[in-house]
Amino acid sequence: MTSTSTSTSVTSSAHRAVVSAVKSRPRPRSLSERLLTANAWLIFLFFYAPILVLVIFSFNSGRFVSQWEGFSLQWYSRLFQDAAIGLALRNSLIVATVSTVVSTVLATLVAVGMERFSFQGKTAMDSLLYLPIIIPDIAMAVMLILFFVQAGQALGLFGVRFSLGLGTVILAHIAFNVSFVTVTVRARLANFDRSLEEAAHDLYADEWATFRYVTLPLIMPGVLAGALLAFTISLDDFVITFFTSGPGSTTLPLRIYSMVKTGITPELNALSTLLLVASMLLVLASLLLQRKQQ
Amino acid sequence: MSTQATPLRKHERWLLGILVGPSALYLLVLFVIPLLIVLVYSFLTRGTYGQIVWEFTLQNYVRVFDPLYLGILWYSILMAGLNTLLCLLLSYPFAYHLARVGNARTRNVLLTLVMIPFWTNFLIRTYAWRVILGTDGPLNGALMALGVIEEPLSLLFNNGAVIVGLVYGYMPFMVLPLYAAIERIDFSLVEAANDLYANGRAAFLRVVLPLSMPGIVAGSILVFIPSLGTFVTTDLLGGSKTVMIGNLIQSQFLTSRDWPFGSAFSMLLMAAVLGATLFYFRKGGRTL
Amino acid sequence: MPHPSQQPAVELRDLIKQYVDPNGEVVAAVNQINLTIYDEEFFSLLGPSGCGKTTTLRMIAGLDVPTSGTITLFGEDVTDKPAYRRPVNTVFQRYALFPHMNIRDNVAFGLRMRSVPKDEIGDRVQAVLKLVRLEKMGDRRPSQLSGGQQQRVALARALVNEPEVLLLDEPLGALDLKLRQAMQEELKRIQQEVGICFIYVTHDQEEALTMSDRIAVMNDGNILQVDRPYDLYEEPKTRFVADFIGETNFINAVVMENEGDCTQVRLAGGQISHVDTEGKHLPKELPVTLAIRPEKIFVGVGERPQVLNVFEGIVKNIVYFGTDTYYDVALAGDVMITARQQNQDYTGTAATVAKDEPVYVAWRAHNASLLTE
Repeated sequence: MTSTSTSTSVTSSAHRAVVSAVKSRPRPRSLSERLLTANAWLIFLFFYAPILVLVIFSFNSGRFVSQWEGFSLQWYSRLFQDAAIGLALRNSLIVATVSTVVSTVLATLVAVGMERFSFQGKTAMDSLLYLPIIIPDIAMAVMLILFFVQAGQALGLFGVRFSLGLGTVILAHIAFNVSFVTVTVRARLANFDRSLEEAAHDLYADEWATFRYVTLPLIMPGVLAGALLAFTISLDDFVITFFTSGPGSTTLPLRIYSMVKTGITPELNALSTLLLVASMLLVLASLLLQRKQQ
Repeated sequence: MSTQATPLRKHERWLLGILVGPSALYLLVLFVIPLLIVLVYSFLTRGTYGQIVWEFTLQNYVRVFDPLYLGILWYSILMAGLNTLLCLLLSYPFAYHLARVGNARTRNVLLTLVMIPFWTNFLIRTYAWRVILGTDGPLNGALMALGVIEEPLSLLFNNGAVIVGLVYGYMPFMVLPLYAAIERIDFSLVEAANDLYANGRAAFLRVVLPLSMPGIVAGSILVFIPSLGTFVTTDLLGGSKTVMIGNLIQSQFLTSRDWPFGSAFSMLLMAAVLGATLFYFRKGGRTL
Repeated sequence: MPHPSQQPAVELRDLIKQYVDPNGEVVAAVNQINLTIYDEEFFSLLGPSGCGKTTTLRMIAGLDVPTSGTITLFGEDVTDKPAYRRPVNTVFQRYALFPHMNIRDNVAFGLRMRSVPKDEIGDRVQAVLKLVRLEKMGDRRPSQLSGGQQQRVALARALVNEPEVLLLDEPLGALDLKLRQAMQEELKRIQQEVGICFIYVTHDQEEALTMSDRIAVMNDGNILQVDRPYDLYEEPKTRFVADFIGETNFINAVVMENEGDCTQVRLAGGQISHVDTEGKHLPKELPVTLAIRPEKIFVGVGERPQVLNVFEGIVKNIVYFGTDTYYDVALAGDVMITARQQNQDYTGTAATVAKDEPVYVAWRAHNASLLTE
């Protein structure tokens, strides 16, 4: 039973006796309990309804979502033949993979450093690491596009051609992913027993050996969870990618956005369904990982 | 043992550099500098053809006080606030019910089931509402089939659609903290209250509600702040009248090409978000 | 012979460790200590929590950096060397066994780090596991072992590296009494078998007394006294040491005269006590503390013995302990003294002395000491 830090004077033994007497009486399901249960079901319905609609109508042979015209897989086959979507998927995967790898490495290092040491400017670094999480997407998108434009102009002075594309998107994704992975790894590190690192030092392991043989294996579940988080966030990102991408660097969310803007196509339902399944698999993988660390 | 308060050994300083340095450098270049650039831009002027003129002015910030823009600011706050309130009202009974399930494993499974939809793409989930609420969508279709209405309702591209989208998008951020806070409450306190002649309602108001307050505050902040800067929801589900700060900034950058003005608005948005965050931490909020 | 070998293993010179506490004040955890610990000896750092003993140990291990001072290991200055470059190993208080490795890999860790050849590792690990009587546990994980077994693994993991000095940080604290006593014997046996210097940190004075060749008593970051257990017990130099180790009666007194080896002091009730101070002359009228251990005091009735220190008193309390009996006796002038006598003979003192009875207490002059601090 969970406990709180509220006054323990209430739970004196006398009260405990009364409470257990009260508990043992069979209680009828009151109206409020029934309402709560009904409410809970409604909310569950609310959460899942939109998804179910998309999934169901992705198999609809008709174009319109207003009526069911029979089962069909045509939208899926159209999807697989859609070159633009194929390209967007490829771009999304490239961006997600590269930004995840880079940000995970950066984040693991910085998480270890922040948890281990205290130094001048640590609070500043702490705040800096939290800012990309707090800041609204659109503000970050604006910051980055202005930066890239300025950088482009500056580099142009040296004769370097710099334009928006996959590179800028990747750079942008790393910028926010570092924060997310750092938070995840630090949470895992907070429970880490520092005396294990000291024992390793005592046993002739220098910093790198300690990290490689003791620290990293023990925080690996956290690191992987963080990487998975970064990968998911990167795949899903729209606003920042929208601002920092150029021609030819369309990612999947961007493609979806333009498809939505031009009108509802049933292909989108099929695509949505596939993405939903993929996301759920990623989430389950992440949860299984977290369970493993216990 | 306290963390080292003594000066670091030489090799430790070097180690610290390797660990923290790369990230610090990266964020310096790709976060701090961009932030400064936006700040600087917010004081510049827009040229006739949309280029940047390096003349410093406060004009952009003054323009914010134009009734049109103030109206947008006010509308954003209202919508974010309404979203927060609705999320709270809908989430609280739900979180309460969830937290009161006896079996811990069932609780976790249910919680996971709640979370699964929300790990999927935000764009798709918002698009789903566009599908549902459309004139040829299943909601209208069902209502017409039931004979409730004859003509399809125009449910999209208005405040209502935006609110639905916002609530749908941000509700888990309210459910989770509420659930965490309520789950932590020792419910024998409620039974003790009952024993002391408090009926169900009084016990709730005087015991459960106050004890769940940290969760309410955390959830509210977690919903209010991001929904203030929302962009996709209003863009996909809203119309010309449902312009929030996020859309305004986007239009300044991509349509009107008034980058200084857009930057000024960005700065304001960031200031508001930072202010709300600091307010939360000042009130003793725990790290999220 | 105070210590088995004459060669210094660890030398601490002017060692200081300071912290800045949450209020911003500078606190000295270790306050300029000087200490020489010899090879092959079982040396204990004894003191209450917060006295600096663990900090000192950690500085010797290289896990904490001193603020100033030097640490020398067999003649070599290691002050600036990190832990992984020092030929010492530590047994941690909570064992710090690597949870993701089995016992064999745990023990082999130090050898691996120093690139010892694989077959040699296998042999040495097996030998040391035999030494701590855990040869069959090699494939288990730390979480599958009991506290006592984990502690022996921690010991094996340290010893297998053949360190020049072994450091032990209150390793028996988490064990229950019987197990602790058994482990104390084990540790002593192993130390003598392996033949290296053990530096042992503890707050348990009985533990220190039974196991050590020499003990350093610490308090508030300072070393108060370094001696063999016997000397520490029988001749404490300060009130703190006398109080911390065993039990002591402290009686306020004033110096009267010095005659030969003895010094006469006057107690609060006017009694004159003779203390053997080995010729040390103390100034007259100096306030001192007379310290005498309860077991050195005889309580009796009847004919007064012919010794220098015999005083009249009334028994205020009797506590029976099975093997011993404690007597709280009030002397003249409200001087309270506690005496402890073995219940050797059922018809001895215990049979004759009762509460509120007048008795005499007596002790030999060389069993008491005069403390000025």
